[in-house]
Amino acid sequence: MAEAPPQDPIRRAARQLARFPGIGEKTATRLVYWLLRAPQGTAAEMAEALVALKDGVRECSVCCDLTAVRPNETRCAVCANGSRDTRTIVVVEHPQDVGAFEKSGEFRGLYHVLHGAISPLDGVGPDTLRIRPLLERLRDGHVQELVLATDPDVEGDATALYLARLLAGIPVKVTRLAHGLPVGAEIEYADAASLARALENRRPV
Amino acid sequence: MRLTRLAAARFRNLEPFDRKIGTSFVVLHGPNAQGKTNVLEAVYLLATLKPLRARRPRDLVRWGDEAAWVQALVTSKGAERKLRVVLEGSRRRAEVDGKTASLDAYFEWARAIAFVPSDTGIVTGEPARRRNWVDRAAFTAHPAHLEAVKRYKRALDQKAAALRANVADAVLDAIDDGLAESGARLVERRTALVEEISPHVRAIHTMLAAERGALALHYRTQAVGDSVAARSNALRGRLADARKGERQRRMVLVGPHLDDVEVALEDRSARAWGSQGQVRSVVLALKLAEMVAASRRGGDMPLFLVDDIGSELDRDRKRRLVEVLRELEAQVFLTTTDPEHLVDLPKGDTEFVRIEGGKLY
Repeated sequence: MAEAPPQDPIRRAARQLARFPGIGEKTATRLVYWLLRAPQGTAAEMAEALVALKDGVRECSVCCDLTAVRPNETRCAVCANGSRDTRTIVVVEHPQDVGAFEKSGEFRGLYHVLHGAISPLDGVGPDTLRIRPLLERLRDGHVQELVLATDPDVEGDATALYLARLLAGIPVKVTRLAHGLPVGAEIEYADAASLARALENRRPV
Repeated sequence: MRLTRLAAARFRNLEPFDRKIGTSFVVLHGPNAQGKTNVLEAVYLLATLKPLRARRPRDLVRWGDEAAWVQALVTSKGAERKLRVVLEGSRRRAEVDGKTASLDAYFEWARAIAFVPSDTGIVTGEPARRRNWVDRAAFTAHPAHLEAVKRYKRALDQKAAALRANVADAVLDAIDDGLAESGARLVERRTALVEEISPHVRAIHTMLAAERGALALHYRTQAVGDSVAARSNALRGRLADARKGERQRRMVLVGPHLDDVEVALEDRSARAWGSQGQVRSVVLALKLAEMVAASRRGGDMPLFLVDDIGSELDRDRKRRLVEVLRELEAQVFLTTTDPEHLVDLPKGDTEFVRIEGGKLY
């Protein structure tokens, strides 16, 4: 789309911000007015950070998570950390999912980021995903367990089922993340579908 | 569930109104094309968030206006709530007591089942009509059913896209695994609903039709088995067998999107019956049994809506229908062109509302 040459700077900036997902024209305009009131240099700092983003970030050579470009290091901080349990890998769809696991502090193993899920409706097949690098990691037989932590929706399930079939011949334990009630939430407020699934997946105590 | 007050603005051809309702039976009458079905639309929208006869929610907004709203005071499970539905363009917002509510929260307070002339198609029409009826009834009784329907639909759409894109067998295998699983869950739920509702259908039909012969429902599926796992296996096997044909025709040829509910009266398929009266009795029995099944969740009876009762039922059936509805203790909204024929409605518990030129009198 060609940019209309002389244009109101406020509208021009707002239009750019409105390209973000989840940001409409109204919010974008509010942000622009906030920027106009902000101290000198704020916008420049932001612009510089945004410009540096693409060149400053790469995929980890092992797990494919996004990581800051560092000299003499092609791995992300998790893969480069010598104290992690390298026998267990949690497989997720998106880099954000790694963040969720890390924030919990409950998992000491490694990750693998697929960058999506199988979805013929969106033209995404196994070849689009980082599956080959995952198979590379399993080759030497060191990894004992693969936890498939793709989303519990149709696409995430299809991806997990695809991987489970693909890995059937490889001597590695493959598990799927359980789903049920959110912990700490009150049952009273759970939605019907989650409750139904939690009931179905009940287990003896 | 009881509606004690109903109001609407910029809704179809109706003049703004705000009306108290104190009876179990509400008869909306008046000449054709004056707005009585629109009042029924308003009640149905409030109770189900869906249009009754209009195709899209936006068709409910008065022509030339941007937004419409309908609101009501309802009592349900001993509590009173104010429900409000706002239609704005193609968007719809549901509120409980002035706050935007999730669907789960909203449907705690609102439920209705309607009987409209075209409903006879549930018995005489294509299998899709009966599948829709089962899904609707299952949802009214068990809201988690909606999730099962949506999930299977999504899996089916993905499978269709995969066939169109001619993806590798390994990908189709994985998609079929998920399709079989979500299909099995859907079939398990539908079968359970049909079994739950069958005795009520039979009992109500006997009361309504006063004919001999037991009415039987049977859910017909390829996903046979006595558990989700067994059904899933059966479906998965069928999908494997159908792979070649599905690839050729680029269509999903196996699964609950092709199932049917057989409605039979003494072993004769109801679709083959001659009498329209018989068909109407059966459809009414299905709808009323849905009421019973729904009321067993939370113990609250949905509203019952009948569009154009005059053309639908003969005198005897009308009388027996009123008896059944009184026994169910349901609140009922009816439209008709000639209210004089509704002599069997309880005198002290019926309100007649005349609608002319979009005005309620």
